[in-house]
Amino acid sequence: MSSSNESIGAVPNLTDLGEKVQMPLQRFLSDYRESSVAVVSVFVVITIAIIAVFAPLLAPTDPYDLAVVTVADKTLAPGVIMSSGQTAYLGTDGSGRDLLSGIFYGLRISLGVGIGSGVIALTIGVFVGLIAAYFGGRIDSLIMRLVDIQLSFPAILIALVLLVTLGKGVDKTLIALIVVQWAYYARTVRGSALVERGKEYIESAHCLALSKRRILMNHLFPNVVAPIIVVGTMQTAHAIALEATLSFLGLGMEQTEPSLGSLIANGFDYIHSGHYWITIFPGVALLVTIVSINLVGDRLRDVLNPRLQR
Amino acid sequence: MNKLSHICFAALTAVLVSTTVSAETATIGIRSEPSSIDPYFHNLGPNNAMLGQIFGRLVDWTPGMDQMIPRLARSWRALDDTTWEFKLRKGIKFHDGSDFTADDVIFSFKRADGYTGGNSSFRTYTKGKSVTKIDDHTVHVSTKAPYPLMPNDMTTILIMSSDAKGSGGSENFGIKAKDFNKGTAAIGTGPYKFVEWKKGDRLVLEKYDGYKGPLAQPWSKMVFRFIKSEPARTAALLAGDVDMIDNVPTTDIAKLKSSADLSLSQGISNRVIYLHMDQQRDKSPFVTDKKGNPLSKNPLKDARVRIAISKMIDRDEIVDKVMEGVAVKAGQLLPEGFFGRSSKLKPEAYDPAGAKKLLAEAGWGDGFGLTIHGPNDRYINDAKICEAIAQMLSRNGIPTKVETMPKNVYFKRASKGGPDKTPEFSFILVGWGAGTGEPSSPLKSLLMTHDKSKGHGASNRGRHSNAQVDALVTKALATVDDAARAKILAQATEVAIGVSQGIIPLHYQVNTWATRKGLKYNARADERTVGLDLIKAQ
Repeated sequence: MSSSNESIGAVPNLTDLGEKVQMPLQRFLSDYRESSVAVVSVFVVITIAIIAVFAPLLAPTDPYDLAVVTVADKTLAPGVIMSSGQTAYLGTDGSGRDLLSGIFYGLRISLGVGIGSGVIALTIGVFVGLIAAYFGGRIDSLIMRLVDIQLSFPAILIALVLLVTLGKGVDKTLIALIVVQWAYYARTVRGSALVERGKEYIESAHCLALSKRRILMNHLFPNVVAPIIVVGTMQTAHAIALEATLSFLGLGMEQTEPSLGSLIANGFDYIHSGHYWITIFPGVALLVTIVSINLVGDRLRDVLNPRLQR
Repeated sequence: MNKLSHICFAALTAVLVSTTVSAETATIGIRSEPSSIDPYFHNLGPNNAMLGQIFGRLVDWTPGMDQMIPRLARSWRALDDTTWEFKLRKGIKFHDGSDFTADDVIFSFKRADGYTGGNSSFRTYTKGKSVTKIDDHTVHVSTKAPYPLMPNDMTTILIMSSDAKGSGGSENFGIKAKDFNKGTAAIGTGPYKFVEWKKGDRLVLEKYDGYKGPLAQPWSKMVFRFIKSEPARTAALLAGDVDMIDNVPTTDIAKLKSSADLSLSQGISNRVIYLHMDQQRDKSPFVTDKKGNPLSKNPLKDARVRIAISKMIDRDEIVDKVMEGVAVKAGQLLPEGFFGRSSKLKPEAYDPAGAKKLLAEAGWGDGFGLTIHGPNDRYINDAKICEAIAQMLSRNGIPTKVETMPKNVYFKRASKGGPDKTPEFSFILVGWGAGTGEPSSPLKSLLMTHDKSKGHGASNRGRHSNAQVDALVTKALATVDDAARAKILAQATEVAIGVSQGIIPLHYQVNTWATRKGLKYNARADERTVGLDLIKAQ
């Protein structure tokens, strides 16, 4: 037993690699900081995340409480005082909801659904991708053909069909987005893992007769993390946009608990009547969220790509 | 030379005149497309409107639904209590050139009555009636009991040609719905002939030169484009893509009114928007306690609770805010001016204190929870009305959730989505347009005790049941004297709505059409958008 422990400890390259991780982290940070746009984006994303998490504390009213929201306040212009005595800084929507509160709560749903579905899809995708790459052969073909089939359909189509069958609600939207996204992760992970699998350190791990689980999780997985981070960031932005699209089309969220997409759809009804604020403000919030996440993702891709490093 | 130029000029004018005449095409943007061209496939508003232009009816309504006018029937009279005679117009030809006779009427009734595979049938209007041919242009329609509403029922059945050829099969006389949808069987006597139907896109009709009717056909060709999205329909009119749109979104009415290039027409409809409440089940699936846990008792079975809910609804706010002023508060089944209305029933006033008192009396002073279900693409602002009602009830101690869905999903679930094909929901928003122009149709369908064998309460999705209402409506349906019948119908309405609040009426729809300048649409109480009523303004 002890001899086997020693032999694991005697895989010197791996431990060395582990120590070197500190150095790349510092280099990563200094590389990242070179783009001021990307730095600003990170702060924007953090701010949005804080708003989303603390929405119930920050929002002036609870836009989902039907006992408070009243249609008497509908389509008030920005700055007008609502019947509750509070000021609607960004105006109200067609149901009388304060838009500022609506946007705060909407961001909560958008980020929650985007990140939540991303994390679960990532977990599934990584697991499936690693298995495909590691075992190869029939398992690989089977999984990858499944991925191919799914990726040959547009994501929005799959999500639409799923939601029409499942119905509305946060949980159902989450399921639809997970189903849509896992294939992207699986393909990315499988590609990177395939390259890594042929390298000497995996071969030596094989020679040491380490368990498959251990090779997969402790050796293969850490070396495919970089592309996953990049794909994960981009996919989160994608998922947020997809959720907004579904809500805009009237699927996705419940009518009385609108996300950003539902708020934009709500305002779309008033597009000819001059109540611009109902569409514009949630639209801007969505735009800023997606663009800043994408900018962060872009920068991460540049920084984490060894070919682009000087 | 001079002569030649004259001839040239004449020829040129002739060409110009003929091209302008043949170019008289009206393009109309409508919200809802028919579900079929087969006249008996689906008893649905858009079908009855569109197909009424291809097929004729024996009797029709004036646009205001205040009077029935003869169409394919020249005249009608009651021979005795149980037999009506309809004299048919002579010299009418179908689009294929064949003559219109009593055989076509009998064939149409048979096909409508025995229709299989459709979405909702016309059997309500054909059941219990036997049509016999007396001569080529006379038919007798007889019933077992006295039936004063015979002419009213005749406004619902479209007449097709008995010579129409179908693709075969044992059902529906070998004529399938798809034979109509392709146009081969779509042969009527109406003012317009079928040209093509592209599902989800457009229906094209062409003027039928052999048409004989009281109104001239203003257009040689009509293109009905289906534009479901509200802002897109407005945009199509503003951009000049269409000459007219129906169902002008209430949010856009003010803007369109102010435009000098457009003109609007508005009219109150025979459609009441109302709420059903589950009065059958002791455990109703969408009635809960305030936290959302199931209740063992159903408060909606208590009339006091139903009246309290009606008092919690601020109809002024619904009309002013949700409908942007374009609707009329309702307290019964038909708006002012219609036959058989009650003069006593008024729209319930917003009275939260009174509602609270009634709830406490009924033992529900602490309130309970509800979910309101409704369609989101059927009635004007339907989803928004559901949300406003949920707000009003939530404010007054009945926390209410909202669930809306597209009409094709909604109606199936609302009618037979529960166990044993019972209504699935507990508290729903629906509308009812009285096609017969008087309250017996909604009383019979919505408020009489549900009885499939008798055809009563066919759309009574709350399963309201009141023996007094049943007796009064049965009596009214067999009363031949108009004045006496009107009185009994009013009385039945007063019991069904005023006393036991079987349903909660909210408002009557007001429909709005918008045309480009130079055109005018005669607003119709039956909500139909038809070519004959789109005329050139003088």
